Amino acid sequence: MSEEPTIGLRIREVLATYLKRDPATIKSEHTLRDDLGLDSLMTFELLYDIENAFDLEIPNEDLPGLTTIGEVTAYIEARVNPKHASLPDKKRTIPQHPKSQPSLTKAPKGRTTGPTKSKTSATPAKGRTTTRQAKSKTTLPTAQKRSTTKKTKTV
Amino acid sequence: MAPKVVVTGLGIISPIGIGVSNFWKAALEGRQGISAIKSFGDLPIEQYRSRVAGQIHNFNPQEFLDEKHFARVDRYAQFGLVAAKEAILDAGIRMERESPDRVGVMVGAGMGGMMMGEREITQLYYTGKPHRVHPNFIPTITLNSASGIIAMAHGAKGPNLTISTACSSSVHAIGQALNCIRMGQADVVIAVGADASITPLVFAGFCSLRALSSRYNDTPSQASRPFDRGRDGFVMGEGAGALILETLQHAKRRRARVYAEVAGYAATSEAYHMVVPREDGIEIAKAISLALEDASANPAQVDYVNAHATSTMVGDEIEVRGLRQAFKGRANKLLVNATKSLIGHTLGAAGAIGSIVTILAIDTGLVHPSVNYEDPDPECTLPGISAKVQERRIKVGIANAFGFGSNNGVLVFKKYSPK
Repeated sequence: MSEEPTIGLRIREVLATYLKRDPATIKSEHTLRDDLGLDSLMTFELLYDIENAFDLEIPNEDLPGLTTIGEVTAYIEARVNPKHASLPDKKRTIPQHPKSQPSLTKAPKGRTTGPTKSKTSATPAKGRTTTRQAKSKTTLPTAQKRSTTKKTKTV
Repeated sequence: MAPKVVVTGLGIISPIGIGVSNFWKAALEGRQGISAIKSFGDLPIEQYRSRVAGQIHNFNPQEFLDEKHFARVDRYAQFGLVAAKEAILDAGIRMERESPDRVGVMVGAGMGGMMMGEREITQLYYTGKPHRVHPNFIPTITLNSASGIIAMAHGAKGPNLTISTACSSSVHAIGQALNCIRMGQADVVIAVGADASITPLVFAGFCSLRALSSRYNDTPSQASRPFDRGRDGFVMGEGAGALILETLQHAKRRRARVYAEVAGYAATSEAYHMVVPREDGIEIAKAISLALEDASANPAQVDYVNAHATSTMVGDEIEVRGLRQAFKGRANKLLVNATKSLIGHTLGAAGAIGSIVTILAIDTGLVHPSVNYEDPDPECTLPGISAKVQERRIKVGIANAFGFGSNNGVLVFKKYSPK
């Protein structure tokens, strides 16, 4: 077995599989909601796939910081390999994949754009994070520096 | 002309009290029924993102029910039986004096018999023995087991339906009861909402949907906080509510006490998204307007709203947006409260319990506190939301319920004054 793909690539593979699009078209600065067209439910489904691929659990408190592919990648890197979290995204091995990964060359193609952008979920909250967190007695450390750009559900 | 329909009996089982008087006393005191989930059997409860719920502790069906009725149905149907029994007694309905064909049952349930459902499914896959699946599995998990057993318990042979529209189920059960009576299919309908699905799989499912509060696992009483800035998802509850609806004429003939008139109902779909309402609130406003129209009421006459208000970030905000659009200037004069702040979200029971609260608010002039409303979220604040009891003569009140599947339901209740 040769070198395994970087975390960034693997996340893009998971995303490409989920969205049925070419991983090469997914960029680090893409936002899940506006650029890739994921509503809140689709975001949770994607994170579920990522949790599965990397064998970890993403707590709700960490969601506000996960709005772009770059942020998700950095977050997973930090979770998988905390020591190297600050390093740039270069080739690195990942301990124990729970599943064999699909090869990049076989990544499904076809639809190259995401589903129609949906305005459904979650408008960005306007500058309310600071006050909320200042007031909240139980805010967890992981959530503190992140802005609330994504809200949770629903009816 | 369609007959006037009134409510003459109420019944409730909730995390803050079994029986209407216990519930209402606790509600007015702002007593909370949310606690930490102690265990899901052998499953690692600490691995659930959310670990708080509005559970009914120490429920013994034999205290309330005949064994031949409760023994073969799931917990949600037992709750439904308890609430229906109280409502029938409260209304003074004596079935031996009624024509059985003219008494219907409408039940709203979101999840149904999930206790036995989960147990049997797990057992089959674990043991691999199909013949060990319990003979009563199918009758128990079938979603109309509650409406069936309630009819059997009381000999009600009229229309018997189960409405399942997730969290709005029992607003529609009451609405369909109203329509059923208006159309002349029944004189009396026992309308019930019931759910009891705080089970390992269902609860895990709501956790995975990231719909539940997870920030307050160590402080359960703070977890359900509709309209508050610190809210982070709903808290699951369980329970049942029951209402006796009948024509005014039928109620007068039996000299029954009338709590309120069920004056209007609207059922709509946003045809939009499985779990998220339209952000602009326009669909919610439309449902409210249609219900008011059905009740021949105008927005300026409404005094009180029992909000759906589940304590999710998006939901509460959109509901207030909808209220502002439907009521315009009147929105600032409405009294509004969130029953889920006390008992969590009882899913299929929520609409019936919210309707009972609306009727009691009309009957007593008291609006229970929305607890944990400490730091109003400017995105969804209204002057009429309060963490304290509010008092006002209420002539018209509405109860909202919105469900997964893009589903909305609104009921309008009016004070009844005999002339």
